[in-house]
Amino acid sequence: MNSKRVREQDVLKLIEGLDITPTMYKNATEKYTAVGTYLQEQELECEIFPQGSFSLGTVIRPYREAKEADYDLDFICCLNEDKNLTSARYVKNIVKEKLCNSEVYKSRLEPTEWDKCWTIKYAEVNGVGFNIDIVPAVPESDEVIRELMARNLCRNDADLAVAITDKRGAAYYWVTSNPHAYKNWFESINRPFLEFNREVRRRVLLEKSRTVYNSIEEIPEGMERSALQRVIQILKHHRDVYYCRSRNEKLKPTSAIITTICTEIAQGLNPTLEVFELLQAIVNDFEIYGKNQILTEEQFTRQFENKTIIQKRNGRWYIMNPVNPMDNLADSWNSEPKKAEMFFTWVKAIKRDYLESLQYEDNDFVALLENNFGSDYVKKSIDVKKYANIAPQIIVSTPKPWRR
Amino acid sequence: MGISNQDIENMKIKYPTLEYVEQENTGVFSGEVLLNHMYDGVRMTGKFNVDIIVPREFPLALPVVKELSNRIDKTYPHQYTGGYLCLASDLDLKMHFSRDKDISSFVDKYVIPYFYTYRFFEEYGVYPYGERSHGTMGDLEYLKDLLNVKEWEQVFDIMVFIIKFTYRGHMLCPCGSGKRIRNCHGRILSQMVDAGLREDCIEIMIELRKVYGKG
Repeated sequence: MNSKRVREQDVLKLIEGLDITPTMYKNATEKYTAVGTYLQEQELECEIFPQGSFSLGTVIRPYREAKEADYDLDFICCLNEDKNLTSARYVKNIVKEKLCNSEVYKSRLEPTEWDKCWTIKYAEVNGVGFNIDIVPAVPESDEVIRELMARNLCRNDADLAVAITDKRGAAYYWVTSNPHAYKNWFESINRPFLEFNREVRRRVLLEKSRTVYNSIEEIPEGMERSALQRVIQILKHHRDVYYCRSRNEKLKPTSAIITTICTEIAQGLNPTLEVFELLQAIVNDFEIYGKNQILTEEQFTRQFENKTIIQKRNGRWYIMNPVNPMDNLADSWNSEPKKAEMFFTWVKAIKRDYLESLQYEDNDFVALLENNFGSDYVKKSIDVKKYANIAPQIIVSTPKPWRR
Repeated sequence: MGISNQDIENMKIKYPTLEYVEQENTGVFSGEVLLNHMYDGVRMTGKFNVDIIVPREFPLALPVVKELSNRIDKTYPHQYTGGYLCLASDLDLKMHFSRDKDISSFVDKYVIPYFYTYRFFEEYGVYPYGERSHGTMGDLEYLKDLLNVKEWEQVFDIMVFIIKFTYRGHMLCPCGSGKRIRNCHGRILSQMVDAGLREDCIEIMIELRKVYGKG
């Protein structure tokens, strides 16, 4: 049996392989900057900046319909417009209109209008493509900023809020979002994890990407990955595969939920923890929160006084957005209680697949890797031969279980 | 009747971890079944201790499989008390044994897929290739799949036909397709009768009458 350490390294290698490559990072950065410059030339005063996983360094290749798909990278395009003097419909559509003035962007623009964004499709590099999702927005109104502050968000964070557009049916609405403040919040907690062993990690990255970077200084911070960022990637990928297999993709926890609770939990932890130690600590906490399902709210609070990241109050679930006190990330768990139930079932699966499996027999471990990453990808990414792995047989008939 | 020497030989080759013993005229293959199987790109592994009990009247009486290591969770719905596994509808098993009496092929086609299903269910909470309702409804579902018809009425008409069975190839098929039997369900109907499914159809009918009343 291979050691726990070897196995951890193999899982990491597989996760790293689903991360965005330095070439793609560079490419995507150039592309979104170019969109910004182009829109400015079109006399649309705006600022374009990354949000979500691309800005947080937690990108993972999406897994759709049981296969790895193109990357989706999100960018806010914040117009210099007064929210009170414009409309969500105008803001959403002016961006498309301006993009369509260019033959290049027009041909790349996906014809479907998504609720919050426009998608520009880029060709594949080494078989992997990426989409740039442009999310039109304007700075949030004073009124909303005041409301955020009234609910204890600090002035600096509140000022960074933007209003993005949301199309429901034929109508357009405004929704408050705060990617800048979220990034600041995330980075403040991630910082010590990123600093730990940083030089070693940067050097390894340089060695791996000699064709892209000439020196260590050229490596953008956006390509570095702390233990926390890796844990978030592991969980996001496991979630995608697990919910797909369980045929419950609609019940998937959002990336915002995963990122927020992992980061909140990591806040109180030792930043020198390695990826799997951190994963263990985070999953342990997830399991504690799972007790919210069987204990009364009073019992839970009494037993786990300081566990307040996932809360149950008056029968409702709460995971507060750290930069928007008006946004409960677990809102949909309340309208769809199966989501909460399944979240905690999923937690058990992660524990089995990435923590307990490190003690399994080789054959069982390789089977788990193959199930989570695909057997072809596993074979080409790690040295499977070092495991005592017996090739599986194919199921030849599929009788359905029954009972008298 | 009962188990043949060929059966025992085949099992020795394909499933060497199972040992053959005779207990009171009943043949039992006992030992560990290793699951290391793939379906639709998903691989499941595991070890299960089993007794595969082949009755003296086999194939008239069906073999049963018992899991001995308590590896199957008590709450798993597809098992009987005492650790016996609900492999598939009895009709399904009868059809299988009417075509193929080899025990090792029964293990390939029913026992292994059962454990695969169980492990998949354990991992993902769903059945990889579906499940049957319990009882008579499950039998009816099997017949509908087997006959490849869309309407329950067609299943019913075909069951009536099997019970009355007077096969003439030129007759119109009971499924209502308007084709002659020999060009439609002829083959499968003969196989069903050969497999002894007439008795099952009668039982299902009686059960349906009990549940839905006369008419």
